[in-house]
Amino acid sequence: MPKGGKANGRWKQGRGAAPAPWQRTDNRFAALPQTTQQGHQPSKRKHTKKGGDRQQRGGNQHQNGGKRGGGMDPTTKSLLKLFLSTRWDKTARLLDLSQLKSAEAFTGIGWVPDLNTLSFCTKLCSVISEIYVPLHVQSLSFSDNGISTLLHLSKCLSSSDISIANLCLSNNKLSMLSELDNLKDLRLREVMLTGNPVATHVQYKQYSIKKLSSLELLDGDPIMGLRATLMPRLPPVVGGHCDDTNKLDMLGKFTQKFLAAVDQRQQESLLDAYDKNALFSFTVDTKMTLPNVPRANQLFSNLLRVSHNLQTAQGKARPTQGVRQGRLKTVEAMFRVVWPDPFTTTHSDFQVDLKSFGETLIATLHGKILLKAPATRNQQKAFQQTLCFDRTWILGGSSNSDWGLLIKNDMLHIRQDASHVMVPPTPPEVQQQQATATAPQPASSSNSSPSVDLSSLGEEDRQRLQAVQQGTNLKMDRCFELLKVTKGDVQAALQEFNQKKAMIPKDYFVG
Amino acid sequence: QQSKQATRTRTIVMSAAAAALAGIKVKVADPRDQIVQRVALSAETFRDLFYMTLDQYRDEVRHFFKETSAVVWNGARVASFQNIQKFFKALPATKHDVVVIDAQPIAVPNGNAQQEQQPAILVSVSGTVKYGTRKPDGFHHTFVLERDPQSNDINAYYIASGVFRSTTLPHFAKKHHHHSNNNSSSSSGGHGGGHHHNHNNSGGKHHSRRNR
Repeated sequence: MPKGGKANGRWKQGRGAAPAPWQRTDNRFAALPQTTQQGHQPSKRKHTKKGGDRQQRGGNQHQNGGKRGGGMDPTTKSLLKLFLSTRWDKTARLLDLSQLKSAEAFTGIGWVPDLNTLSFCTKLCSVISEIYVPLHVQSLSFSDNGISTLLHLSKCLSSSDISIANLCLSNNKLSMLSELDNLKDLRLREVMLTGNPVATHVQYKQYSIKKLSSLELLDGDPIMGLRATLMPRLPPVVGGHCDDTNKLDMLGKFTQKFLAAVDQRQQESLLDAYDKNALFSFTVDTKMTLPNVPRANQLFSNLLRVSHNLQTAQGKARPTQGVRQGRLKTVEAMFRVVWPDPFTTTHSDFQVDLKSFGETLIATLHGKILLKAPATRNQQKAFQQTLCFDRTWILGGSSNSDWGLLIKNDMLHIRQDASHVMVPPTPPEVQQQQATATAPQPASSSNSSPSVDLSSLGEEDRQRLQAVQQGTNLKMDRCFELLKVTKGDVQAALQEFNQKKAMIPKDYFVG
Repeated sequence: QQSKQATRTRTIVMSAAAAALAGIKVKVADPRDQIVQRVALSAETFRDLFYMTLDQYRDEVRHFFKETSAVVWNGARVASFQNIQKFFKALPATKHDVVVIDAQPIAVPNGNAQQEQQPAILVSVSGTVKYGTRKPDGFHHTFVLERDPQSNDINAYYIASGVFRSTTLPHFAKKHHHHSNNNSSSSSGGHGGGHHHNHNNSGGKHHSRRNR
């Protein structure tokens, strides 16, 4: 029995290393004579072909490298060979293995070909590898086979060195997204999964595109276009909103004065910034990491406890105490509860979203606070930490010319420091890119070559490409592939080309 | 069919909240405290309904708004009711996780008795939001809820003002969320990313200077 092995000229990808993402699964340039790995000679085993008995025999069929050319009795092998020859399409280089279960070759002898089992996959792949890889099989179709797992099929395809570009698995029973992980190592260019439950999954497209990095076509759709539509496009972020610049000025001045008064702890002055019946409440982000320093830790624990966060049981328990009513209670709370002695604040970096409704203003501030406490005689070290805050105000006009505005509602939220108080505005270039990304991409058929963006190549690479093209007269993208295979070595590429010239299809050439 | 349920649910739950409150033995004597308590309950109900609708029944979100509603999303005003509908349609699938919610009643000067009893509500919500499969951003959402004048239900509120800001989460402090968009584009995207980093820093500084 001829064994697969040496001089088949199959291109061996490094066994342990993942193939580089650009290495094409096209076997055209694959036939470099390299050091081959001898397939080990497994001893012949009898296969009991009870109808449907396809159990794995533990241990004898290891996945770790080595070729499994045998392990099949001759009858099975010739049966498979014969069958496969009826399903081989030479021009398309397609092996159409759809609807195996109803194929006479199998039903006739009571063999149920189940692609979910290791034994069948192994046998199948060994024949494919032996006969069809030398014939440069490009595409395999396994539609309508009740496949529910790709685990064994993909493993056998990889370990038998069957490199194909297109795999059709339509109308099977694949339902788990995780099954797609199995296709990763096959470095497919195109996969069809229509008619599988998994294709209706909400995350199906995103998951496939993410996992199968070599993929160019998914269910007939070019990936480039899909990628652009799937990346969630958000409306652009702009800086602080304001619908009335006069009010913004007024608010800006008010805010500065207010925050300075808090920083300098001017309680009396602050009273005038508030309406007599003003309401004040504050919350602390429950996901914040509390400082290690004991007194700061105590402060935050206390704040969390009295925070008017309706989300927590504590916040809900005493809603009326969480909302301080009246300006006296408000200012008192600010300096006795939120920022008690010895802590001091320094506000900075604030940005504002302002909305005005007639005389009423609704303002949301986002900024930073530097919280400090000096060292004490009891050997406590000086403490300082930066926090972020969000503060919402409802303001009305004021007769007090000092302040100009009166706070009627004040909600303060304290959270952990972050690089920015809010997500920075989207710059115009990115907005542009987002706009063009959804422009329709030209559809590429499965027979067309991958496009090479010459402008993205360096000068050296471009020269190499041109050298190869001059020597081979191949189309630029095929030259690109060739160079990738030889890792940029022009001489090796030309050598390779000369050896395989005869087998290269006409459409790879220029003109 | 699901959408009908959602709207039905909205009014039902709001009413249920009021009924529950009526059934509660009021422990606090001060009428102002009662209002605060009622407002807290309404705010919680609103939070549940709104974010559920936003995340799962996105099409129904329009029921929360009226023509006069003001919606501001990360600094951009969404002007008319039609634009609001379009805006929410275009927004990618979201998953909100509310961490903090605070609510206060808004006093109406010289308001009538009913206005005092059913005041407008100021709600501030903080948490994280995931758009599609992106990593989460922080968010801060400020609402002014007003009683729906066109509804007979005294507990029907609508969003008179909704101001939304994406805030930066601490552990993503080093990355701009825009970079994830840039990575998928061509090689010039990397350069563009670096460039926009600088732009943002100066933009931020410029902003705070202006506000000072």
